[in-house]
Amino acid sequence: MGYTTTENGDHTTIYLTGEVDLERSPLARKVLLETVEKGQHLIVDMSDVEYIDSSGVASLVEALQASKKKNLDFALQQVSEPALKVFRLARLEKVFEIR
Amino acid sequence: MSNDMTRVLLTKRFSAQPQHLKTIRSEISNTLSAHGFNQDFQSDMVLAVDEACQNIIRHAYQFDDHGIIDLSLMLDHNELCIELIDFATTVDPDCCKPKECKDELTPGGLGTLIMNKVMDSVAYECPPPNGAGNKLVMRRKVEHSER
Repeated sequence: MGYTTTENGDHTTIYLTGEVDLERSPLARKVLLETVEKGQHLIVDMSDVEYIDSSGVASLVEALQASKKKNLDFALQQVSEPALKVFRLARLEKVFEIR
Repeated sequence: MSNDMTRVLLTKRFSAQPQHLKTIRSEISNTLSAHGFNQDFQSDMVLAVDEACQNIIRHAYQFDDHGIIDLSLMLDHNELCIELIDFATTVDPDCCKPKECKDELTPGGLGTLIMNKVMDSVAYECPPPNGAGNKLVMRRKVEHSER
């Protein structure tokens, strides 16, 4: 898994790429939570996520919860089909704001 | 699961470490592809095995670097059977059943939920084989359209 980041004022977009699994999800978690900790509204672009499992989903959930606690926006955009499938299986497709 | 009509598609030993999950996923995908299963079916099985292996790494071996997973894929008529054997302490067989959760954001249990959604059955064999800690058996009927 890799990522790139763009900032626009108090909004940050993180572009996740590749496979977000047990090996790589700790990095995703760290990056997402650090961004929220800085007080940034967060958009996670998932157009190039080829695979995500429950550990990757858990990282997103954790970032969503952290954002809510700080009254920050959190949304996913361009969610790839493989990722959307896992969200549906985990019954989380309505929990995230998906653009 | 073994009888004259059972075909062993894959049997392999893996190191139970997070960095090896990608290899395990590739092996599953390549094996199923070679036997004519479509992409949707492959991705379901990859997900189920990945989640099962995660549970073994996290809970059975607690991220011990020396853990081993023996993985087998077998086809019996129109049912795919996946077996995962580890050599950790035997767990409570009920822990592979999904827990009902009212709050989608409650952590824990996502992997088990996913496994039970994509497979027809997920259960530990009790008692496990001699010398093994746990044997997880997952089954899924194969529809005509999936091959």
